[in-house]
Amino acid sequence: MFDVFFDYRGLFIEGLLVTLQLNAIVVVLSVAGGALIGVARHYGGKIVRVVLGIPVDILRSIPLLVVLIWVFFASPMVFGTRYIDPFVAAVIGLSLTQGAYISEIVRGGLASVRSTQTRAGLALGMTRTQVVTRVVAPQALIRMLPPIGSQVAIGIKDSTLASVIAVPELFRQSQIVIGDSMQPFVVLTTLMVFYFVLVMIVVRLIDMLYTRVAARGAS
Amino acid sequence: MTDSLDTRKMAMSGAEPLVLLDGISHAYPNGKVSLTELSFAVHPGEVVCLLGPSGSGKSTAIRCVNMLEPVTAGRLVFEGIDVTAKDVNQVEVRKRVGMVFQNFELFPHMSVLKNVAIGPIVSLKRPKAEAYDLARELLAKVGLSDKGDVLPSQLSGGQQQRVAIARALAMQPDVMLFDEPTSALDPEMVGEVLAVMRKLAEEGMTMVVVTHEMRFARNVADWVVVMEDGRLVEEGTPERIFEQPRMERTRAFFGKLEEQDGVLPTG
Repeated sequence: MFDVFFDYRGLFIEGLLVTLQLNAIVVVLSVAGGALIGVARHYGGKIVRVVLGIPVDILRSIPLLVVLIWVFFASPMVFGTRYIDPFVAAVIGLSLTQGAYISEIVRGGLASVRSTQTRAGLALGMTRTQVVTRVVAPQALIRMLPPIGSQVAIGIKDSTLASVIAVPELFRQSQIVIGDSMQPFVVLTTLMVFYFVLVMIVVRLIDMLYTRVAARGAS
Repeated sequence: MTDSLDTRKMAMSGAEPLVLLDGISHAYPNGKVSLTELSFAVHPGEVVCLLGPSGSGKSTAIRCVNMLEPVTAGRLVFEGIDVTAKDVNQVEVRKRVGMVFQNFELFPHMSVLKNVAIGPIVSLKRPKAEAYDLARELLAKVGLSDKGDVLPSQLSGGQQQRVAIARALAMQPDVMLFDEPTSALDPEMVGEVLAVMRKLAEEGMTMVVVTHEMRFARNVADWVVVMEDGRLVEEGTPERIFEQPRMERTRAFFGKLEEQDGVLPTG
């Protein structure tokens, strides 16, 4: 019954590697970009907050499926080319959308540290920058861990949508195998187990990290 | 009689005020006026208590002293320098002014010892070993030498406030500001914090204290300032203010306290 995985191992291994690679890149880009945008929106004053809020709100309002298809089929016209690599398109679409959500988590985390903590830092003769790096950011970071963990989990699951623009990730490869082998039950069920295990590992790791530092974020 | 009651010891010594509020006004960004032409002086070694009903601007006034709130008019003179001038480095002034907050405001992500050491390490760029030695010394002084390794959240309110005092002292400030330091405490913990403050006063620390603890003001203060609606109502020695308040509004304020808490402290 599980012969199918051996028979099509080449496709599955490629799919697995692409899925892991895609998600690793998206996590790094979306967390870095989201942090940058979130920090800028929190500390950048009104104009920065409003201007950077526009793309964030747009990305949070458009279905990811539409974003991915737009990046793959439509964005090349904007940049005057005819083709964009599906993997690159998936990285861009997923990172933009994930980054938008993460920027809101970062902004909320920074805002959640009450302003009297900033006053306490200033009263100790710290500069504004020192207050942010020594007092506000560490506390905000701890509080951001659980929601960022959830968002990364959503990102991993949503990465299957990249199959519609022919990224050879695990779900796409599985569909190919199903079409050829006529064994949808075993392939799809195994796929579910695989995503369950992958997401649980990520979520539990972040939870464990959070539990260790949670007391330090309470205030 | 009145003269002897009104004698201000520190002012008599001829010393320049350490802190001088010279007709300062303050309004919040929403336009609400919180201070109107407030003036009073704090001399070296003096304990000045700010009294008055809530909303009278006491807390805003001491936050103006270390420029956590910007004054909109008037002069604020610190150690002879007008710090409301544009070219004054606020950070440098704040390094010499300690502050203790109503809600402690310890940094929850740092151990108690690090909370006390962080000011000297970050602001004064002191070597870490030196800062931690000083921090241990100060924790002992506030009676918490065994609590250095725990997080602030593991301490009681009274203990947290004593750590906060040690944290402010670590900067070796010239003046200490206390913004209602016992208002957020359970009644049984008020005493331990006031005891530390009393010890500091006895050691000659210059202190400005916003408080509702009338007994503390009566016994420890050298000078009392009564405020209402962002203005100074009257000022004087605690003996004079408590025994012979001149202004009707001071009497009304004390009368309200008496209704709540029974008798005013008399000595």
